[in-house]
Formats: sequence, structure tokens, C-alpha cells
Amino acid sequence: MSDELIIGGKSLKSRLFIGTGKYSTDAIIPEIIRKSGSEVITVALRRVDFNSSTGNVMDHIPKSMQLLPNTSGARNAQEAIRIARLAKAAGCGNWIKIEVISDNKYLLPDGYETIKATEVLAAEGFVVLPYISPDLMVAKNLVQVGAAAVMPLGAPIGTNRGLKTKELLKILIEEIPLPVIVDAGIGKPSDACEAMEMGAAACLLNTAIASANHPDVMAEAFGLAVIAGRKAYLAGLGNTQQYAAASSPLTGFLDN
Amino acid sequence: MEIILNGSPVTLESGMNVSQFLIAKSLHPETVIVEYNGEILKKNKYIQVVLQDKDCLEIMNFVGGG
Repeated sequence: MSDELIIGGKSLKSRLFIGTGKYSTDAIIPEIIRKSGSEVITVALRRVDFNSSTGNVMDHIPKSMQLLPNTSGARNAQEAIRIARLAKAAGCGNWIKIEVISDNKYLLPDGYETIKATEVLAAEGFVVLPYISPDLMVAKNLVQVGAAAVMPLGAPIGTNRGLKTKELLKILIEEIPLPVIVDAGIGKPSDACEAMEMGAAACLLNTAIASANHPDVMAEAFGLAVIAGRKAYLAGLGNTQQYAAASSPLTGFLDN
Repeated sequence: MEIILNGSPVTLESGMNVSQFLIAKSLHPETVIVEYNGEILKKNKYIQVVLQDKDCLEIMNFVGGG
């Protein structure tokens, strides 16, 4: 069965998007990519620090990967737009993850500013994937202004707490005609699997892999979980019910 | 002369173009992104643009992120 995810005209086989932050060394990134099977990877844009000789993360990302730069650090639409244009100028394609955050405690995104940035950038030809709280009206507005997908959070960034917003994610999956990619908060492969079973188009995660004792093994676990969850969704989950329903025949027992 | 580099004043010799400046800072022109006086500078302009006193340069690159 062909089951490709198409975003911005690009066909993807893997429904696991991964980040590049928080690794003990960037040199592990190629192995994380290989084990996870991921084809889309996020990076951030920062001022060069002339006081430290940190390497360039791009040296560790194969050219075959679809790069998804984020606008982390942006506190309003204007800053996000500036970062997006800079990232595009780097010559790494036109995908952008809009991330507009001014709340430092929970890192929850600003829906209004995110919509404004998405509208401007989509009109400029960017493939815009906005990071949002799972708010139906924000998501509907993003559809209207040309987003390529919506990326609602499962729990606050970096918390590994899982699908705390599950009921709202279900509503977005049901109502939004774009791919719904669960981004942030996914802590365990079972969280990713559950999101996929619910009908999410993909999952994006970083901390859960990067903070594992063995990130490469965890990358493989997440890759498998996303595949399992997607297959379960396509297969169609059976109904749940209160009381037992025997799976074996209730006639023809040996003592009859 | 003095320019503003990533928000801080830096003294340098006059007559340097952006490409020469990047190499002097041990940066690879291909992997960085340059904003010159508030405008994105295309890579093919790195050699043409000669830094002037009071210029403002922002030099960025990609780092790990989620």
C-alpha cells in the first residue's frame, strides 16, 4: 500500500521528523538519522559566537535530508519573518517551522503572531509549518492563510510528558484538512505511536531521542513506533466496549 | 575603522570585503548567513561589498534545534 505523506509538493516516506538540539555531540546526528529513518530535520538559526569554536551542525546533516529551519527565538511575527528570510538566504530550501514564543516558562506559542507570520511567508512561497497550541480556530486561520501543515503540541517543549492535549489534537485531526504533525512533548515511542493511531500525519520530536541514555537506539524505537501507529490507523482500530466478548467459540466444548 | 559585528563594536583594517572578513574570522562563506546593514547579503556579493566604517554586520549560522 502506498502511503506517502506529501507536504509542500514533496513526497515523504517517513512520518517521523527529528530535531538536532541537545545532543552531547553533533557527530551522532548521522546515526540518529539513519536509525530513525527520518527524512525531515529541524535546525535553528543563531548569531555566530566568535568566543567559542563550536562546529557547524550542517556538517553532520546529509544533503538528502529535507531541512526544516525553525524561527526559535522569535517573539513576534516580524522577528519570525526575518529569521525565515535569513534561513532561506542560506540556500537550504524554502521550508520553515514558525515558532513564535514570548512565554519563557511554558514556551507556549503565540497563535496570533504565528498566523500573521504564516500569511506573509506563505505568500512569499515558503512551505510553512507552524508550531501551535492545539486550538481549532488558530488552525483554521492557518489553513486560510496558506500553511502547508499545522504542528500542535502534545505537551510543552522538552517536557517528555506525552499527549497531554490528546482531546484537542483529535479535534484538529478531524477538522483540519492539512497534515496535523504532533510536535513537542512526545516523550516515549508509545506516545508517538498513539498520536499516529489517532490519525496524526507525522510526529516531530527532539528531546525524547536526545535525552535518552542511548539516543541511537531510541531513534530506532521511535521510527518503529511511528510506523506501527500509522499502520494501525490505516488498518482501522476495532471498537472498544465495557464487557468481555469471547474471542474463541462459545460452543463445542469438550464436556458437551 | 570600526564596524558593529553581531551587536558589538569591532576594529578592523579598512579595505576588506565581506568574504575576506569571514575568512579572517575562520568562517566558511558558504555556511554562514550575512545581514549587511539590515539587508540579507547574497553570497555572490561577499566579494563585491567592501566594509566601511560604521557598517553593521550580522553573521549567523545553523545550530542544533528542535
